[in-house]
Amino acid sequence: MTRLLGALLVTAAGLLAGLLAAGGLRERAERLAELGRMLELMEFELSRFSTPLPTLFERLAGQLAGDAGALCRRMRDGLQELGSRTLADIWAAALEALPPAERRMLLPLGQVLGRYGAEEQRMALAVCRESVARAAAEARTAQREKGRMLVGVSAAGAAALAVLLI
Amino acid sequence: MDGFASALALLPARLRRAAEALGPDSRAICEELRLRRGREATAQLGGCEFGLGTGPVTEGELRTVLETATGASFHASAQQLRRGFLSAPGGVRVGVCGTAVWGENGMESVREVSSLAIRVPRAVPGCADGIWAELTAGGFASALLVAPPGGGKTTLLREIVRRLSREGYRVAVADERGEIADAWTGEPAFDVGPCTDVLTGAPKAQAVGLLLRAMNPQVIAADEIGGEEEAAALLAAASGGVRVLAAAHGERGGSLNGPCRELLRTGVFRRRVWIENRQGIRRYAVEEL
Repeated sequence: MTRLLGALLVTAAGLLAGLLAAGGLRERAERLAELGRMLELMEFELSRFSTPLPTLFERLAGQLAGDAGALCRRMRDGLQELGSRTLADIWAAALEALPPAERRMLLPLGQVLGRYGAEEQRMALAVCRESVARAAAEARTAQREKGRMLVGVSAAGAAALAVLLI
Repeated sequence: MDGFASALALLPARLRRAAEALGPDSRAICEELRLRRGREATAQLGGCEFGLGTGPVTEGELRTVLETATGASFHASAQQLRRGFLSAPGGVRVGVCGTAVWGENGMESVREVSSLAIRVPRAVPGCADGIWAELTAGGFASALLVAPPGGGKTTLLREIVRRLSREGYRVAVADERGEIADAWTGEPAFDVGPCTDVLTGAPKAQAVGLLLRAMNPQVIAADEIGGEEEAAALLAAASGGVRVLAAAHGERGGSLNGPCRELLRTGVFRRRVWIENRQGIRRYAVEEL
C-alpha cells in the first residue's frame, strides 16, 4: 500500500513538473505578446500624436495588463526622478523585473526614448517590436510543439520510475 | 531655485560638477552655459566665454540636456523648436543647433545636435532703480526697451512689470516663452508683482488680444517684438488706451526691426530705453520720444 502511494506521488510530481514547464512556455509567449502590444501602442502614439512620454506611460499603465502594464507603471513612477536620473537609467531599472532575454531586447530603447525626434524613436521602436514579434512567434511555436510533449514525457518518465519503484 | 541652479539642473552629472565649480561672483553674472559637441563646455560671463575644463562634450550629454529640458519628450517639442529654442522649467531657455528637420510649418526636429545654448534667467530686483524716475515721470507711459540679444531686455522688463504692479497698475504679460514670469505651473516662479496677470505659452499677437478682452489691463507687456501681427496687436492695445511695455532687439546707432519702427512711427511709444552691456555691467538710458 505504501509503495503504491509512493508510486502515485512520484507520478503526480512528474506530471506537475511537466505542467509547470509547459506553463512557463505559455507565460513567456503571453508576456512577449503583451510587450509587442506595448511597443505597437508606443509607436502609434509617438508617430501620430507626439505624446509626451510621461503622458504615454501614464496612459499605457492603465491600459495594459501583465508584465507590460507593470513596466509602464514603473516607468510612470520613475519619470518623476528625471533630472537626477537619465531616462536610460530609469528604463534599465524598470526592465529589471523582466527575464534576461526580454530585458536584452528592450534595453537599447532607453538610449533613444525621449531624447530624439519622433521619427528616430518610431524607427527604434519598430526595430525592437520586430525582434519581440520574432521571439513571440518562436515562443508560441515552442509552446505548441513542446508544451504537450513536456507534460507527456514528464508524466511518462514519472510513471516508469514508479513502476520501477514498485 | 535661482536661475543658475535651474540651468544647472539640466546638465548631466559630469558637466554639472564642472559648472558648480564656478564661484559665487561668476555664478551671479553667468548669462549662459554653452555646450558644443566635441568641444569644452563654456560659461558666458560678462559677454565673454570661459571654458569650464570639461573636455569634449559628447552627443549623449547634449541629448541628456534635451531629455531633461523637455521632460523626456523632445519629440513633442516641435512647436517650440520652430522658434529655435526650448523653454525649460525655471524660465531657462535652451537654444538648439544641429541638422534641422524642416517640415511644412518650419523646423520640426533637430537631428545630429551640435550645440546648445542654455540661457540663465535672472531676476535683478532694483535694476530699474536708476531710471525709474525718468521712466515714470508724469505717470508711466508706453515704453520700448532696446538691446542686442542677451543684453538684459527680459530682466529689465520683468523688473519694470514688478514695480508697476507694486505701484498698483494692473499689468498683463504676454509671456509666450515663459521667460518673463515662468508661470508654466500657474504660479509665477519670478516675482512679477501682486497685480500682474500672465498668459503663458500663447503667441504674442494672439495673447495681447486675449489679455485685452479678458483681463482689462492698464499696462500690457510683451518681450521680443518682431512680427507684424505682434506690432498690430500692440497698436490696437495702445489705441484702446492701454499702455504698452515691449522689448525688441536693437542697438544704439543701429536699426530696429520693421514692425518696431512702425510702432515708433505711429507714436505708440513715448519713451525708449537703451540697454548697453559693457563687460557684464548693464547701463540704461531713457530717451523721450
